[in-house]
Amino acid sequence: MNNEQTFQHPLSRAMPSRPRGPMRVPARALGWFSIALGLAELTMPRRMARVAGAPNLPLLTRACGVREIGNGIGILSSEDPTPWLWARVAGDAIDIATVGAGLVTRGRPMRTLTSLALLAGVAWLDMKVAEAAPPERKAAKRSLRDYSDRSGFPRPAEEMRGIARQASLRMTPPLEPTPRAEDSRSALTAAVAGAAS
Amino acid sequence: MKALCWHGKHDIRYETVPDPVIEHPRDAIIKTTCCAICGSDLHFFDGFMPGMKSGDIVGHEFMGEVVEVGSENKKLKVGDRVVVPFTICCGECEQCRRGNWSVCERSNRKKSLGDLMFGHSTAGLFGYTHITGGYSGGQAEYVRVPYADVAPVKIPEGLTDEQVLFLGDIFPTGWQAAAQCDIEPTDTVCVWGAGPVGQFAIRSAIMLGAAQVICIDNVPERLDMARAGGAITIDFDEESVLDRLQELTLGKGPDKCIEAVGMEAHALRSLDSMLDRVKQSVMVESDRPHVLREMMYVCRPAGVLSIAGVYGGLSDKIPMGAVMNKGLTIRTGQTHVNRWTDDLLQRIADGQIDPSFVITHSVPLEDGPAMYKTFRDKEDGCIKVVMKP
Repeated sequence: MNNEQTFQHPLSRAMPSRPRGPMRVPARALGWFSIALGLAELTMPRRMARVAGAPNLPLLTRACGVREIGNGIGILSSEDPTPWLWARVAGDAIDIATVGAGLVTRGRPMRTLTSLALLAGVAWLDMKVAEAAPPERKAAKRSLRDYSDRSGFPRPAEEMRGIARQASLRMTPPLEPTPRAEDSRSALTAAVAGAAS
Repeated sequence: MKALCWHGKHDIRYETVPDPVIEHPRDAIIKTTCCAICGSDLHFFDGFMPGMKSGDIVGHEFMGEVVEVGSENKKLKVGDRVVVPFTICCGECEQCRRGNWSVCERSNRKKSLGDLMFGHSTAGLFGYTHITGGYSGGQAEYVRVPYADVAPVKIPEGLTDEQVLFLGDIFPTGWQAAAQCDIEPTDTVCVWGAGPVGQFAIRSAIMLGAAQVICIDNVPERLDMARAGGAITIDFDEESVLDRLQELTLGKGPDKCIEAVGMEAHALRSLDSMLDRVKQSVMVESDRPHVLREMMYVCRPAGVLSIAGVYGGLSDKIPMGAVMNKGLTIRTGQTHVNRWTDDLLQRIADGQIDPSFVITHSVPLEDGPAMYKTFRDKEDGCIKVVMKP
């Protein structure tokens, strides 16, 4: 078995840059919102549940936080954030169900209903941005112009190989030997000797 | 006169500014005939370069005709046609005398900023950050050239602006990137980035005799141009960089690795790149060094890493274990342009290479602000923009 052929280092994978198109700004804003909400859920699960009027289930709240952070990173780092935005919509549905349970367990119905209204608004926004997000660029990836004849060489590249192999010998020499280097060394030596004495 | 001025992130304006004047007897004033947008210019365009001030005249790739010279300038005369290297050099300090032109010890007039940022100041640069002197740049109708009796390269008759313009930066930069690899006839050289510097690095590596040159990018037309120059290409969107390099080097890794990408690497699928972007967004990391990490990982033991891409400050998670244990040599730096210009000008004149191959867009200077975005977003097959005042 040839391990060299199958080994996949994480650094060897790469993809295009951030989302583009008219919905880029709202998509990125949702990405950052996701990360901020996720960090809050991860670090302050009880307080977040209390504020939202949701059931006090720290483990579940933390899991939602991890999901939010993952979604946020996905949106910010993808050229096509659409799948991540739809993942947010799915997450909104889970959140609505979770917070809705607070109507039974919390005893603060107004707080819970306010949170549900906010979640519905965010879900609507997520859907709108997801619908308008740019299509995946990779499908359209092709040369816009043909530069296949732009070698810059007068002959095929293979014939130009090594034509400058002796280039280092033609390197422009310094203007003159470096007397100032010696001067500075002498000055340095004198300074060190002076300090020692 | 008219010039392109920086006014903030994504805000370059074509506007009227005062004409430059001779400030020192060694100065010269150049009437720009041709200038270009460099990949380095995108760093301040995108807001990643500290030390910019609103109203700065930008651009460091330019050439033109001498219209005025200072009284002590014995090298130039009115009417001379010159390419001006992007580094400003006094020609007298210890570094200039050693040929280390890009770290001239006297030309950065804001030395304290350079000392603060880098420990020791480097040379002054045209049209860039105030960390490198805050000199007015060459995307303008006229430019004041300090120490103009040292760096400007006189151009003989018979060569067009487009053939010689890139002697001021990207051709010597690509050449230096390859030259400092100490290329042997059996070497595989891998170039990350098929932008203008990467294109010149590919051709330089071919001319310097590399057995195999590989280029990594994800923009189709740039990969086309890389193949035209003699490279085998890897599209990192389509295939595994590591697997392809293993195939192409029989599992040994490239002997020499050239970085022609810089601090804004657009590779994001891997975890390290995502973290870089998040950290850059909240200003706890200034650069996105994915390519550096990948180079260090894939390079053959005892190989050379040559870094031509511009980095501005701090990079995280650099795998120094790979560098140390594999005994890699790292060579980098702003280009010592005048170390190479005489040789490269002769090669252009001899017809060994015509650097104008890289020009994809030629526009009036007033179209410059729009072309920054076109170049940054690689729209319309844009690889290199040349502007004429």
